[in-house]
Amino acid sequence: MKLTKCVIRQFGPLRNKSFDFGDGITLISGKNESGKSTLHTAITALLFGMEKGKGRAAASGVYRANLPWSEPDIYGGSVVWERGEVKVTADRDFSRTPPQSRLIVEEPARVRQITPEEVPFPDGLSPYVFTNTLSFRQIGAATGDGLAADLKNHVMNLRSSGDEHLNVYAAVHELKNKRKALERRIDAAAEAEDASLDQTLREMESRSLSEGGDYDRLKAEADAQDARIRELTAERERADKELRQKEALLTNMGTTSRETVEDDLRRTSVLCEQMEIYERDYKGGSTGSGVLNLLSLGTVFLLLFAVFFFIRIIMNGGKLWMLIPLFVIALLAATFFVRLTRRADANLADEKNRQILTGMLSRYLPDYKAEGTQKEAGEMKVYLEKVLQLFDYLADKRRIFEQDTEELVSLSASREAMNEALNEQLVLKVRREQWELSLREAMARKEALKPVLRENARLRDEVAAAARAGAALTMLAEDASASFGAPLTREASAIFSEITGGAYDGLEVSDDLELYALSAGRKIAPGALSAGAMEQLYFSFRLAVVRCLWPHEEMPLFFDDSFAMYDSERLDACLNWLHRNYRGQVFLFTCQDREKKTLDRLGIPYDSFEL
Amino acid sequence: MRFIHTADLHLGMQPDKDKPWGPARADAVRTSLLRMTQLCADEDIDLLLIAGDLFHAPPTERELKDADYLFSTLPRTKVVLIAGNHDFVRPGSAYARFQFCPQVTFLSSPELSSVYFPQWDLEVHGFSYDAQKLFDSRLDEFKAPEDGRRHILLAHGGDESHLPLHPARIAANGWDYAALGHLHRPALAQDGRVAVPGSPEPVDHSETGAHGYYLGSLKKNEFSLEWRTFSDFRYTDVTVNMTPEMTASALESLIRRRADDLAREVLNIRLTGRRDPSFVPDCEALLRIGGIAEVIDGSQPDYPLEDYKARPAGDLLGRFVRSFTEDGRGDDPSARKSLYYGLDALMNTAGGGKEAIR
Repeated sequence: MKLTKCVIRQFGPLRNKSFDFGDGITLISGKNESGKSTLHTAITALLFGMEKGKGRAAASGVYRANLPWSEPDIYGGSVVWERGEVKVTADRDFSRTPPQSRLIVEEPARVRQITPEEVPFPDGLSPYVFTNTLSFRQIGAATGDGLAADLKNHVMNLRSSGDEHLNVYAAVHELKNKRKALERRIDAAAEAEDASLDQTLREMESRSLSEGGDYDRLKAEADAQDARIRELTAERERADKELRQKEALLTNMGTTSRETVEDDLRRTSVLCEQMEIYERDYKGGSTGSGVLNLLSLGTVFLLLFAVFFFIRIIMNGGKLWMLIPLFVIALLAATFFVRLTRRADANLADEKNRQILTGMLSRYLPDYKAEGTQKEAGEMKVYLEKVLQLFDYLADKRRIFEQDTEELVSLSASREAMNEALNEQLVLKVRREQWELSLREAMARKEALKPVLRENARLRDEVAAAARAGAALTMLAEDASASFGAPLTREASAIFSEITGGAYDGLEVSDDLELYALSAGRKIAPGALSAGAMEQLYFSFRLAVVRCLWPHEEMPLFFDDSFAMYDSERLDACLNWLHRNYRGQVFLFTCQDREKKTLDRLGIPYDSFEL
Repeated sequence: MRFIHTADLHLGMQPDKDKPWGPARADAVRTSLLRMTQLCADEDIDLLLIAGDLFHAPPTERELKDADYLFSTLPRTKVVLIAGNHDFVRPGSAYARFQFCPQVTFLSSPELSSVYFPQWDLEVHGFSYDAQKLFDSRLDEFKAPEDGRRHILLAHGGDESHLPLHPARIAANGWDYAALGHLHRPALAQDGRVAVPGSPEPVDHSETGAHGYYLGSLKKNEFSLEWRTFSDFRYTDVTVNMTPEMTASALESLIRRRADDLAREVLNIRLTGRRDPSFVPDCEALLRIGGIAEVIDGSQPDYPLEDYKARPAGDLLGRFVRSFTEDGRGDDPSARKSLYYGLDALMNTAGGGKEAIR
């Protein structure tokens, strides 16, 4: 491809300029702001067109930056290039909306107007590729990871006859970003928590829960015991109170002991009997009447009279049989006498009994006005019998009280023992309940995590899909670069070694298109090189890229102040190499006269334009 | 003898807890046993079979008392239940210790046990989970005794972590009826002799459609089974077929129209079809419409895949598209997803935008 002519009607500060380009080196010089870079841009725009409202040009502001401010309706120009026998003229008017192009192809047999899609550019040449391969601006400034990736991308796309618009590495980069963004949305903490919950649940499931199962039974038993203890205690208290009352009563009654009462009862019984006998035999009825007393007395007097009478009879010669009445009377008298004596004794005994009775009554019932009657004796007997019954009752009560006390003591002891077991079981029960609670909480938490985990799974699918897409694109890029890498490296190494005068053995291009200078078997990263050497490294590489991309066609090269960082030795080497080895056109845009002087000094022919 | 076969009531669960309809869903689940027991009373049911997961988690004593009270209100229905993977029984747990009312038989052992009902000459066999997962396939092995009685197998399982089973093998083992639980969608096999009623209430938004129970009748030589709806709430899948012309507003308007008519229904929106590649539906925004549990974007960007595939052999785009569509990968959803991820990235990063791609 050879540029033969460029006409600028108006483009940025350039106005009504015309350039006819020859083979070899063309030097376009001018001071800063003279329009060298604008001419470079104008050639690109005239070659490939420039969109006004959209696309890269608009995005980068090229259209607007170069819009003439004095006469904006004149904005454009034309460029002519040749490829073998084919001549192409592109005349473009950027002032129109959309910009208009008139594209003419002159072939040996015919001349025709073509559409933009029909422009016979070398394979794969596009504004983008042009900018990144043929157009050398500040190489050092433009080289970096991005350039390497861009080159790799374009190499691949171009070599695969693909679409130069595609930017595989940018796409891979976007996929990587997309993947990272998706990964950031994955709630890894939730997954860790879920795994931890699984572990917890497994551990919980393996734990035995049989312990603590007796608590309820024990508790029921303990409750029953407590109820019994309460019942016994209440009963005991009641009994105790009653016992105290009754004992006080007995004390008040003057009863100190059951034996005393029993003695008194026996005595009272005897008294009753005696008084009954007395009443019956000595007091009541005929035995106790005044008549009997009178009869007894009369009998005694009659006996005395009879004794006197019989003594007189006997003394007067009476008969013995006459003593019989005397004997009878004496017997009667003796009888009455005995009787009277016994009655006297009975009366005494009765009196004594009454006193005893009265004494007992006053002892048991101090407030009672006792008379010592038989009735009172009977009542006393009944009373004492009741007192004895009370004693029996109290004894019975006391026995029950003691039994209750024993049971209470026993129950209390048992309850104490049960308390320990109960406490143990309670601890176990609480543990079990905690287990159940923890289990439910863990299960509930797992449940709550489900939507998050579902979303995580979905995100992981998306991540995997994005990763697969990225991997596929990368693999395609690697395939292309693999087929391109070896010749590229060979070519670049040869150029680099030559332009550095053998200071470096060559260069190495890594799989990622990172460049390393090779010197004495060492790999030197661009960052470790001097600025000039680094520029030479990239110069070599890009020239090699151009040669590899278009091995059968010499493409025009554009160096826009590209050698600013070069010292004179390096500049000599580069220009020499271009002169000797590159058959295509070389356009040098420079604001310095170094290039001119060098070309002159080295005797390298060139055309020149002064802007 | 008429019976109801249900399972997976998941009492205590609160589906969609964080959603506006969460309380209504919780109520529906909470009252499902009450409604089921009322149904048993109204329908004069003889036997209620609960094939596991009556509770959503191992129940507390309070929950057991609640359930037991409802069972105790049944005038004549006998109840046989087992525990499933959610409410599994650990020895010593409240579930293991609880004494149900007399009409309830809880087959709490992890070993197969049974209860015999002489009035129907029917023996119901079953066992309960003692762990959350059971991997063996014992359900295929259990055989009904050949003693002239009728035998029902009550079991819970059916996926790889929960007693994987084969209905045909179960049916071949002589059971008059296998009342299964665990799967939340109804399923019937072997002429209705092996049945899963599904959960009576959906417990997750993915459980779309009607939910219910089986009403069965077992007579001497006669067996019938009928599935009846029960759920108070319903999730519905709604598919929106997108077109390249569809805009975000059009999509939202379409979904809003459907969502406006909801009554005790929640939608799962599935976007399908082909959309403009530059229009990525905002699923989060669609969820905010209300009454929508989930939006799944299954739509595909409308790329001219056939054109891309037809590109030259070395063409990057063509190679990329072919790598995900050839060798039978065209229908692989994950391959398709990767394809669209890659295409989106290529188009988004293309010089001059995707319009510039020839």
